[in-house]
Amino acid sequence: MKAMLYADWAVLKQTMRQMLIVFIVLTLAAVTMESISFIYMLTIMLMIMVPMTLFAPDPTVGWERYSLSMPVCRKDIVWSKFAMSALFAGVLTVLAVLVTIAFAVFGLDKDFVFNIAGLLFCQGIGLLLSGVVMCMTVRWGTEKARYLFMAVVWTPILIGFVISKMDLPEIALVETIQQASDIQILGASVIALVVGVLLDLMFGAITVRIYKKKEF
Amino acid sequence: MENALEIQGLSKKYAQFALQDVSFAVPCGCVMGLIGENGAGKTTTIKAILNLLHRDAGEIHVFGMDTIAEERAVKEQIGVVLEDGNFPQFFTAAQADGFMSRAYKNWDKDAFYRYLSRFGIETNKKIKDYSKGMRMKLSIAAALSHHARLLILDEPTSGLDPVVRDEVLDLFWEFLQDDDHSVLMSTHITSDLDKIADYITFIHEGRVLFSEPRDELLETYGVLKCTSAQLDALDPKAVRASRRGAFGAEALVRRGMVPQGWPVESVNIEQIMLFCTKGEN
Repeated sequence: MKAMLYADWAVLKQTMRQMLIVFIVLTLAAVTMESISFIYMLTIMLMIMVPMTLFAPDPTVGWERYSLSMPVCRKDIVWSKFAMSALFAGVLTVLAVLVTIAFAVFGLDKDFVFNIAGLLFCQGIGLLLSGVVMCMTVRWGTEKARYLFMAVVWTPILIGFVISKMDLPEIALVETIQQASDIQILGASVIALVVGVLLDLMFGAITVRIYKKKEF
Repeated sequence: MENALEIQGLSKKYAQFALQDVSFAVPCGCVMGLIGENGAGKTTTIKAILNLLHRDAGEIHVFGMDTIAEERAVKEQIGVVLEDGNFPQFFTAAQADGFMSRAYKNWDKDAFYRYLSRFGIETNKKIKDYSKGMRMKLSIAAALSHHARLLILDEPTSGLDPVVRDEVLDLFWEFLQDDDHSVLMSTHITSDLDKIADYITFIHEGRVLFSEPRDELLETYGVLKCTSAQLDALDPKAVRASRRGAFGAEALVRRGMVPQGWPVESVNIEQIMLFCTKGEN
């Protein structure tokens, strides 16, 4: 697995700089909008891009085929990519926490606990979605996975947007969140993060099974 | 003599093509040339050896080890050069070394850098900036730098100019100086096999037509140019394949079964391949 971690890290480094620049630029935009949640959504989008980035070198040069001709097992190839995704998620989380602290210190958004809870919740969502994208990419290839994923992600977003524009009475969940204490919200977000991690691991196992059947 | 590679009853079916009951062996210390027209099944056979696809039937052993049950141990013994497989384009040779040293237990960094120096490959230049010849040399350097005992080469000289092809064949010669080393080489360039191969396996439409020592093949067969009537008069067992034209006939014949005095010309691997592919068998 060390060999694949080395290779995947080299692949990720290629785009890491661009992703960090995007993060910095959009953080500045978030500062002007005084909206920290914008950053959290950004971390989800960046995490989703990682699986496709990691599989990007192959179609053009047959890297996967070549690496499988060496003493590298298919399980290692998959778990290495999941490990890189998790590492990237960790880096984004640290950066987002620093931004959240800065927002609180400079008075841009003082609801620190609620924001951290939101961040953890988004990281759980991000890990789940990156696991889904990894699975789709292995099963259908980068291009098809990209289209399928857009359909999977945008459908609930569009439905939610339409519902939000309708004049509906507030649902019980919204009232519950508004009445919950900071500890309860933080606890729920930690649970969401743990669930995200577990689902990511589950998708990892599914991806290994798919990858073992693949032919090159 | 132990076989470096043994394939028995290998079969793999696709919608438009099937590899059927492919069997051959590469003895230790020998070069096996794997020939066949485009789409014959050469690359499919190599992919089956490397477990890049799941075979429907058959067994494959490398130095007595099953390629599925002992996959990792088998791949430690094999150096691979693929026509359509290479390092990521943004890799440098130094990064290729970094990867290979973590993939192979017996990776020899010094040997790798000696090959790079010999080939004039810069260690910090990205592979996307290499010429085709340099990329192939990098793959060959990687294949030769972990003390492999068997080289599996899929079109290693394809697209290379004659000078580079000659350099590459010299490398394989050096590799073969050790009696424990063997080579399986799939190629369309049969003139390379005329220089280097000990055995020839010919795959046609997914089946092995023959797998024989090259010298025996070239001594056994010859080309007879005659009239159609003369061809008809020959013992059918003497004729392996034939082609008839408006002005006569050509046949790939077994020398020993042709009547004395009939002019049988010497043959090369390419001619054998053409007769077996295009001729009437």
